Amino acid sequence: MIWGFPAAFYFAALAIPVVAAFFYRRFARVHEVPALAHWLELGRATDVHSWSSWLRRLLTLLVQLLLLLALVLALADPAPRRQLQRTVIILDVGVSMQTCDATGCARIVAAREQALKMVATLDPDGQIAVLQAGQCPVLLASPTRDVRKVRAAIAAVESLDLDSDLLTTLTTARALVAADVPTDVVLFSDFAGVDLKGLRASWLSPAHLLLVPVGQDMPDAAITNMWTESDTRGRRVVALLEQRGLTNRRVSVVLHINDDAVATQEVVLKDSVTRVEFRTPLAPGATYDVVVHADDTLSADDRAYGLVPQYEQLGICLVTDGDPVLERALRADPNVRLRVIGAAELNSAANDDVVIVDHVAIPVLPGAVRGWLFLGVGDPQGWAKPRAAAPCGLVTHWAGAHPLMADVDPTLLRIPAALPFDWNAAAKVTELVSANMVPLIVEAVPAAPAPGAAARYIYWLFDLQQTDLARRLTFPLLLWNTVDYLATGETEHAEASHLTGIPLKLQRRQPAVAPVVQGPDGRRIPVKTNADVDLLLDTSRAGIYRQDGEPAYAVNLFSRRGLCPLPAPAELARQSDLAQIQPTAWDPWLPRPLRNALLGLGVLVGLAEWLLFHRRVIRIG
Amino acid sequence: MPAFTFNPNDLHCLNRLVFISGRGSFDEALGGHRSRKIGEGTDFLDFRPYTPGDDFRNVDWNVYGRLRQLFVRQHEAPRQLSVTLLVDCSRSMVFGVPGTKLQQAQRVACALGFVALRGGDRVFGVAFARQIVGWAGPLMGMRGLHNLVAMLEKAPAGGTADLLGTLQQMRARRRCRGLIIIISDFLNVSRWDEALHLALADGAQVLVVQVLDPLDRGVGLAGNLRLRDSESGQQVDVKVDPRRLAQYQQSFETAREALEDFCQHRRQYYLLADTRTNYIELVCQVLRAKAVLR
Repeated sequence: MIWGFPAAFYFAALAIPVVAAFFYRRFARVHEVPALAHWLELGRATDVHSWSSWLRRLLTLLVQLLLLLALVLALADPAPRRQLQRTVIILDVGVSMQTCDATGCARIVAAREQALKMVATLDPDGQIAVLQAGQCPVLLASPTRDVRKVRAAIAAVESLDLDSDLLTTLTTARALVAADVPTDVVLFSDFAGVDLKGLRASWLSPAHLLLVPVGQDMPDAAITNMWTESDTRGRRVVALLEQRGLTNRRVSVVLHINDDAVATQEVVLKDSVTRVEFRTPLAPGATYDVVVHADDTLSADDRAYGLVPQYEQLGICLVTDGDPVLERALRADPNVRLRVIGAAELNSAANDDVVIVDHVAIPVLPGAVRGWLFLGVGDPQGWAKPRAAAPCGLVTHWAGAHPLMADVDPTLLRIPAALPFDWNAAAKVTELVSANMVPLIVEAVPAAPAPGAAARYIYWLFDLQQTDLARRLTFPLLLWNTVDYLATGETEHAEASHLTGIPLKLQRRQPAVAPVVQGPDGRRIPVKTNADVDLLLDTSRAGIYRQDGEPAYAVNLFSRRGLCPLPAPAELARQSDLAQIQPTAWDPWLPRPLRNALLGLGVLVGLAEWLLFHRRVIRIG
Repeated sequence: MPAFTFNPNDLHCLNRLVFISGRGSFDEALGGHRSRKIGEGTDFLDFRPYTPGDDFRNVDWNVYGRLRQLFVRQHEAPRQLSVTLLVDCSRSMVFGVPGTKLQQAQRVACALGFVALRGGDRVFGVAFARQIVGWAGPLMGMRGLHNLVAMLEKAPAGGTADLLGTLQQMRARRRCRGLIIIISDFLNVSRWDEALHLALADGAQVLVVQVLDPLDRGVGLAGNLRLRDSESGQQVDVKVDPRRLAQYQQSFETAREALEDFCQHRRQYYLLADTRTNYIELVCQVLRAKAVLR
């Protein structure tokens, strides 16, 4: 039993004056008279020492005490004792929650209102936690009874330009489920693109999971990808548009460069992906963005941002006896200046960035080359000497974080035979791809690097002609990843594309000075420095991020979440009833009308007793 | 219990009052009251023929000169009146506003005792409740008044009043003669009629002084009350409203009139002494009007 107003028990002290008044009144009512003979003729004699007389006298006192007890209990507002309840509120802050539905307010606003309304009905003694479901879950309020703190946390929630990971958030919510405390987990989301069955199936917890949908299914158009690429006349901007519910809708797509609209295209949205290309001069380092005016309800994914890369013409020297496939793959990029030579023509005077040695032995290593790629052949400096080919199995190990492996699925590599190399102690070898302990792609660096020498060496330890790699899509990816790595140290893709919600690794322009980064809204964003690595953790907004005052990174949403249909209302109807939360509201033991009636009755009885008995008592003598 | 106060200065107006000797029996002692007995008094009563042995000093020689027969003069024998003051000291007598009935009874007893002592009567003071709780007497002369007051002051008040038992004890002491003054409220006095018959049986004159207070008549009682008898402790629940109060007062008055009628029918004296009445006034005016005093 718990009491809503325990201070009411202080009123129980009124029993003392009630008892005192009773006895005072009892004694005051007994009047001693000289003789009773004549009164006996008029009244009924009472045996004051009998049990019945004693009980009859006490009956009035008992009635008064019971009335007082009833009043105190009614004021104390009793309620049955319940086990403490914990409620975990999860608010989806994914980009689709910015959708303005037909009601005119964003889904995140509706979710906040529903959450606040539910908090008002929860047991004030229960604990409430608030989780934000974004790219990664954020605990906004740890389990607390401070409702004001919970309300403030909910009110501060804003939708972000990123996809939310509800599964990860639910995993985090499970950690908030205490074994001995009944817990309700309430997830407010539009569930755009969410597999509800999978979501519920992943909920392996005794806690009660309640999925509360917000929003209505609305059509949307979005830019799902954008980049610049070289073509024969320079560079062009390519944007991919997707839609749902807007098929054959004519929309205008505008290209802005440095915030100035430079080109507009009217396109008809296809059922599948719509490709829009802008061929316009792009100065390196310029910012640009593409905007789709589709009059849809989610505007966050209608704009994509980009930075024109500091591209330069890459010089590649292919030393080969003749390999058309390799040559054609290298010529795919119009910006590449390819020079195909024989082994004897290799000299130091050539202005090449990357040299690819294709199964031919070269006598010397000319200087001023950024990187070397040896395809099935050793190097002239004697670090590696090939032996006879040996069979190998499937690829079993690879360095996934290496730029060489970006967007590459190594399991698709089918290498029947590898070329084992004998490595000199002067080289330090790192295996990038291997099959059953047989290295296939390695990177070698000098064990004692000379000052100023920063060339990179990559070895493909297999005969390209003996594989079907050249016929696979993986080949150009792997090849160009290798060339980009050897030329610049990073892949072009990694430089060009940044997605919201993913921490951004910054490049220091001044070694000893920590970078200062401003977000798209001009707000300074804290940079987390770990050793020599500077990380920008808050990339929740799409736009141009400026480092030290200069445009540095374009962070894009590129989300398909707004294009995903919402779950059918019937599918969520059973799971979205907030009344399933127990207890939904504070359930008083006595219904309030009954309690009020009891209070009124007590007051009336007390008043009546005072009027009928107290006023008639007269002291005499 | 309120202290009994008695101011001797109030007794000055009682100086010339004496009891009128009525039908009560007198003592053998010589006193100031005329009696029908022949004795050595100075008041001539009658003649009778001389018989041998009579005192020659009583022979009326003038009658002998006329009639030539010897006649002896007979004179009244003045006797002393015995006044017994019975004061009820039961618990019912301690009620009253502003003074209690017991105080009023004590004052009346003292006043009557003063009149008796000053008239040369012999006074017995008796305080009684269930039994005799105080006794003073025989008292003679004004010095006896002090003893009477002292006895009344020391007499404890409480308990029930047993008038019949008290008179039986006095009769056993041969004190039921002369003038018996019973001062009581007669509220809880059971068998008072038998007691008065007993007092009258020996030829005593009885003066009943009933001391009452307005409370005895139910004045001031109202509402649902539990009344407790002061002497027996018995209780009764009574709803006192004007109708019931009138019934009570009628019953009370009937009982009081019964006592008064009893006395009148037997040619005894009855005096109603209210606590609010001055006791000097009671003794001087009322008793003189009733021919108890002159």
